[in-house]
Amino acid sequence: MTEKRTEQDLLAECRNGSREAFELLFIANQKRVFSVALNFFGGRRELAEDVTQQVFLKIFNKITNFRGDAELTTWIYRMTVNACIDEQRKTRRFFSIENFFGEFRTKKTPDEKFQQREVADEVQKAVGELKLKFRLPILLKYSEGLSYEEIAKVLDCSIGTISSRLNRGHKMLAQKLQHLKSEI
Amino acid sequence: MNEKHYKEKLSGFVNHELHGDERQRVAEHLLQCADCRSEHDRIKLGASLASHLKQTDAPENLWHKIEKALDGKEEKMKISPVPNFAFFGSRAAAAMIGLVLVGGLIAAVYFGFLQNDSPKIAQNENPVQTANVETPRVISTPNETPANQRAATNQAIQNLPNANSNFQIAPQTTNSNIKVLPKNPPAQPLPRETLPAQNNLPSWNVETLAGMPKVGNSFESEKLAVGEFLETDANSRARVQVANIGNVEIEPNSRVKFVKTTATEHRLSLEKGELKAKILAPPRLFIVDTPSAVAVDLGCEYTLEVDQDGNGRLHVTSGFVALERNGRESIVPAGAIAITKKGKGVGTPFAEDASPKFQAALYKFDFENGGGEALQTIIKEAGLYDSLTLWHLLSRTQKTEREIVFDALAVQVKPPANVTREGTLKLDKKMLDAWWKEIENVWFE
Repeated sequence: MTEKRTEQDLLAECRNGSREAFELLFIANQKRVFSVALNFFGGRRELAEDVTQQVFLKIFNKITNFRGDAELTTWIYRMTVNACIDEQRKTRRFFSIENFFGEFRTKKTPDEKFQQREVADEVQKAVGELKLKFRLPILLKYSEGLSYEEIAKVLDCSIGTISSRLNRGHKMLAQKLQHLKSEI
Repeated sequence: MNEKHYKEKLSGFVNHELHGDERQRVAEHLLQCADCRSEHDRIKLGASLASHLKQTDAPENLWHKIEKALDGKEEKMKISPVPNFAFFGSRAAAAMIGLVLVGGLIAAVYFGFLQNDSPKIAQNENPVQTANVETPRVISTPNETPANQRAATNQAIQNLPNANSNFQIAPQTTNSNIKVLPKNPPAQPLPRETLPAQNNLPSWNVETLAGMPKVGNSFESEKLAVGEFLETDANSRARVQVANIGNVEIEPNSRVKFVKTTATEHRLSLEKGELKAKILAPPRLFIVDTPSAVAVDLGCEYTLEVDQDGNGRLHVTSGFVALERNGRESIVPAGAIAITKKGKGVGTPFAEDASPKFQAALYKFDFENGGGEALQTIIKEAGLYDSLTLWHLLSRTQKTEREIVFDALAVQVKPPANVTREGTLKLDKKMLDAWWKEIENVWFE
């Protein structure tokens, strides 16, 4: 009860333009936003940072529109997911040039290239390569620990759809990362 | 036996999202159903892997950046009588300036590095060269996600020269006619990455990634010339810059020949081993020959393997690849695999997570005269994403079997209104294409 009131108070202060309240809101939610973005982009920190910044600016801008119909965290996750999708659309065209030519021009030593990636990094990269509809439920489930019902609310679809997409997403990950089977 | 399976419930079961009776029913079923148990094991492995995802704190200075941005915004609001509009205005102006700068940068990168890579630029910049060249073709290829796929495709199509004059939507020689074929395609100037080697033949840059790959006759050369082979042993790997359109990594124990590079075609031949291609180019510009099929890039990333016997395996991770041999074509989208067999040609593509039974039956059907029995297993095992396979099977089956495939496909993806059973069974190209588009939507949704 008290916690709820505190959140409401915080939101009210944010709506009144309190920078301090907004900083608290940032501190309380930065990990959620940054983690979703980081896992969405397969570990690319610069993109995750950009998206996190965009999301909080958007929150600041739209906080007066938040009427509390949904949980605050659901609202923030939704904005984060949308910002990630937008960013992916924007960067797709430019990404390839950097990816293909930048990578080629920056010579890596064989040692660097063959350095064993940690399992977590490999998983993050593999998740970042999944199709959007499988990637989002996976990262909301495992990075954020949301229930199927909560994921369904964030992504605005049924629990059955989430269940089915997770089914397939799990199998895709297992297929992609079979070589890590002995390490987990 | 008409036993009920619980495959769709298994992620919920693994994640403790099922309760009471339902959880118990699934558990009891798993004890007696090897199929569902195998599926369960795969999902459980995926879940164990996914559990390595972790939360991470944002960089410490991020709040300061946000504050700075907010200060900028508030400053604008003070001098504007309409705060929201002012904020929008400043953003719009910033966006415009950004666009101009980014546009300039992209133009610089584009003209500097790519040199008229797209057909539009090629045509605009070098109109004279648009005559008498081969035909790069464009498939309506959604990218990694449906929206992006379509956006990228639309972008690509928009980038093409005026459709009225130079392009038509026309059927291919094979089972799909969803391609956009330029009648008079634009030529592309030979990119500067394709440099003449010492022997004056065009060559591509080679980067050693490990060991000592043999390039031509040398272990030290960094240029692979047309007609030369690149060979890797068990300890060596190399990356080849494919003109200005991407790169190909050559994995250990591989032998690759550089066949051709022109404005309209860049071609390698993979005799054995494995290559990983990342290509950013109009479709059909990059081609890899193998002993059992030809892999035609439609703008994508993929891994292609060829074993000692010349049999191949293609796994597409982004975009589309067409596998062709003797008039038969398989369109392999991201997330799908296709097998090729020397002497027998191109197999039917399947989803990378298709069940082992489904894959085994498909292999029998394609390469071991599995016939009706294999087809029955395929139909029985088929799920929503196996519609990719079923669609290809329509043109690979005869009358009665085709009817069975039609019915099975219709269960998974409803045919659009203008697609009739009669027309499809006659392999009407327009109907096949219309249905393919529905399947694409499901695949990339």
